[in-house]
Amino acid sequence: MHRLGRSGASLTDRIDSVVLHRVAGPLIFVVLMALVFQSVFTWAEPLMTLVEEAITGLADTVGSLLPPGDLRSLVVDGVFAGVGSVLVFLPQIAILFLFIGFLEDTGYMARAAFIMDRFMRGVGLHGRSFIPMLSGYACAVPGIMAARTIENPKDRLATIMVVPLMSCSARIPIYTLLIGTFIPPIAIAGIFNLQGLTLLVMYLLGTVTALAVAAIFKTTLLRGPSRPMIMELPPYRLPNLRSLALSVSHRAGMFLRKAGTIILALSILLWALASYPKHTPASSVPAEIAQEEQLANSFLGRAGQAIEPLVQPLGYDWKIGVSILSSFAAREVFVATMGTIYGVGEADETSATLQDQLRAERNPETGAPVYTPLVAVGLMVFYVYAMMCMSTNAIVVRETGGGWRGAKWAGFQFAWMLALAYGAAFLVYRVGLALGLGV
Amino acid sequence: MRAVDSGTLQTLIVALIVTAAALFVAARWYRTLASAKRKNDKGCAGGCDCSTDG
Repeated sequence: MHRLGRSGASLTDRIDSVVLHRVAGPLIFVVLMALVFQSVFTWAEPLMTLVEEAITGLADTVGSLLPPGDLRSLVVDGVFAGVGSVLVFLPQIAILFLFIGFLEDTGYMARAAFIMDRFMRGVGLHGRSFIPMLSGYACAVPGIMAARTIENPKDRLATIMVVPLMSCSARIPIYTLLIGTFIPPIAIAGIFNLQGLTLLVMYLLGTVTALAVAAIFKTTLLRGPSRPMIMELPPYRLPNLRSLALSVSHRAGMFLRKAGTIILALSILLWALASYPKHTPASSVPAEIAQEEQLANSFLGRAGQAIEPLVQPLGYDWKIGVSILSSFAAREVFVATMGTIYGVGEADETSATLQDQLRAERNPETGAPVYTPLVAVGLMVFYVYAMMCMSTNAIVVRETGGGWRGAKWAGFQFAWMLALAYGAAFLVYRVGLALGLGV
Repeated sequence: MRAVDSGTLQTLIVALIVTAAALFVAARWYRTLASAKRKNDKGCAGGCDCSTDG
């Protein structure tokens, strides 16, 4: 590292001597990130409850204005349950990007790039790969586009192959739904809690795997020398509130736009698939069982049961299976599908939260809970690795040459990521069961 | 003109909404796939907003 300008240690130099220290630097980075992820849970909780109450209140009001029938079910169980279950995660996304914006504005993120560069060069990646990988935490699409700044085609391709492993914001609703529902908020070492640490582990798992996979690519298919990165570290400064507000509102706006367009449309389609064809139950069957039978006999239920043998080894039932299947379009659709399935499958008109419904779900044959912390962790690991995003698939085709050549690279990436996701989720579930953690 | 009962009207509205949603999703996916066919010949100057692709 070279210092420009006047001699003598400035405040920035003094902070950097600690923050960029060989040992303390990476440790400070991990602790900072742990605190950020923890805040996502503790700070967002009251806001999330407010959004949840507003959505259920609105759903109940609109539902009471409509006569009983398919239209009311579409609005309440399709639109509100589907889109609403995704929208409740807006506070988490806003808080995460508030902290990331804060770290960027203070100048710390440039130091994080410097710290990460050492690890990246260790696996043979170009120093410039850091920016695409960092962008990948927000969304893989701009991350993959940012790889255009890497001149060497092999380095560029290796970066494109691993960027989708960085946990993007679309995974946040899945992580926070499962962590908030199944991981208890136990305090650890006084300042941390298990929920925040679990979220950190998911992010680290994606990042460490990205580096490991990049190392494999750089020593096999895409062999080549690594090149150093030259970057200027800006002085530390106080964050600008206006730019912070702009950055958070931009991310929140993107999330809302996605929820109000493609997720809304997919929720409506999923509702239709979960509600038709109509099943006529026997007259003596209680309402709750009749609703379950309707769901099981719907197009969505039949599709779910058809793929159930594939997901059963991972500890999932057909409802999780069909939610995974629908989330190939975009990851958040997993939460929307769960919301719709539990909305349609609900006999009464009260709007219990999705979290409560997941906790209460029982296997009809054994009476055991369907969702255990082990299943939740396995599911999160699946989503850390699986390439469930049509936009990313499309951009990989384009950025790796377009046409047949690009399709081959995108297909290869989709296949190895899915195999990795399935294998890792299988391993987590089976090892967990063997260790007696499956309760 | 014959009056349409509430149940039929609801079914008609639902069918319209579901069809519109299906068309919207199909158009989005067509656009995403069409953009994949194009070669990487443009920069990112227009912004790289993934939220528009679905």
